Amino acid sequence: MDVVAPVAVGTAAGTFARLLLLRRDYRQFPSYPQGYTIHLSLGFIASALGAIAPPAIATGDLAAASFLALAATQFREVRAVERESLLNMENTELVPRGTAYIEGIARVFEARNYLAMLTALLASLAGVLGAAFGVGVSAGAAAATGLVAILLLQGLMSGQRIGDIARVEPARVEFEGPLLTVAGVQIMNVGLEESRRRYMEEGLAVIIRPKDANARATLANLGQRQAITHEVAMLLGVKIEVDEPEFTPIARQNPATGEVVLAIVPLLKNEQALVRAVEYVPVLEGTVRKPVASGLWPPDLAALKGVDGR
Amino acid sequence: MSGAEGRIVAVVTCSREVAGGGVPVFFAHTEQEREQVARLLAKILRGTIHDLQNGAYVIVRH
Repeated sequence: MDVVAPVAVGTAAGTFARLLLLRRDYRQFPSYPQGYTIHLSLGFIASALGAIAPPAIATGDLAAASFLALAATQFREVRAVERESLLNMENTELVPRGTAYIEGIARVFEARNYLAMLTALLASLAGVLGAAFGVGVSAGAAAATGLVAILLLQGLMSGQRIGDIARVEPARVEFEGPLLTVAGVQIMNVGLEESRRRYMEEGLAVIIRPKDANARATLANLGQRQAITHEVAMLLGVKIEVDEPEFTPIARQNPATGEVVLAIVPLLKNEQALVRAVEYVPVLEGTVRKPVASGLWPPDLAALKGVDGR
Repeated sequence: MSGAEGRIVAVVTCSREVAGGGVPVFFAHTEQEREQVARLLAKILRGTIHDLQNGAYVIVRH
């Protein structure tokens, strides 16, 4: 049996899947070109391992197929490496990512290698099945399966964003004495008159209203809130230097209503941009809570009815 | 930062009655001096100035 076509096409499909999942956006993470090289190489290795398995089994070489297990161990390392490098850089961030966000990113990188491997495996499997009808059919079947797998995975792997679980609205920056307050929620004590003036003149605020009790529980997570402040500070910029920590944006939750408020002194002072930035923040997989799914919550409370006059 | 812990690194006040208890206390003669001293100290210590509204600023490292 000709195994070159399934393996070659499978590997190519897997690597292509990894490349598609390596989107470089405003986050600049993974970085270019070094980060790209690292992840593409790993993706290629994962794909090759995945592509080799079906022909190996078809030709009765079961030992080769067991290499998949070895690969899984390898890719767990990927997560550790990503986590470590992000944690090492955490001290240099004016507004840190927070450990929950880092864990989320690291997890995504590990998962994407498995996806590349899975794509390659499926493509190669189709190639092996088609091998009986000639090399052309084998390669064609592998390519088509690879493409379908890529499309499916792309759709399945896109997670929720804050805009999906909450309504984000502009709010006003206010002070109660020295206390920075947004929508009645006290955020922090800003001692200097000068700093308070800067908040009043240049600051922006948003209120994030969870759509249901699940969203409320998710927004209660400190890691999720830190991710929001980090993303917002990165997208809009933040007027802050290391020696003025009072301008570090902080997201605080109103324990009575579950609403989260955030005040920031941004470089780009645009309310609509702030709202969109918050809506675009990913919901971290590790912070998702679904207390309502337990069935303990009555429907009105689960929908947050009666909370804060809704 | 979501940090729960804070450490008072200095107190700036106009009141001579404040007794130091393990934290450096800086006295100022006027309101302006109090603000100025607090601002400079906060820059040096990379702390945040909080107003206790009893005539004392505390500078806290978060």
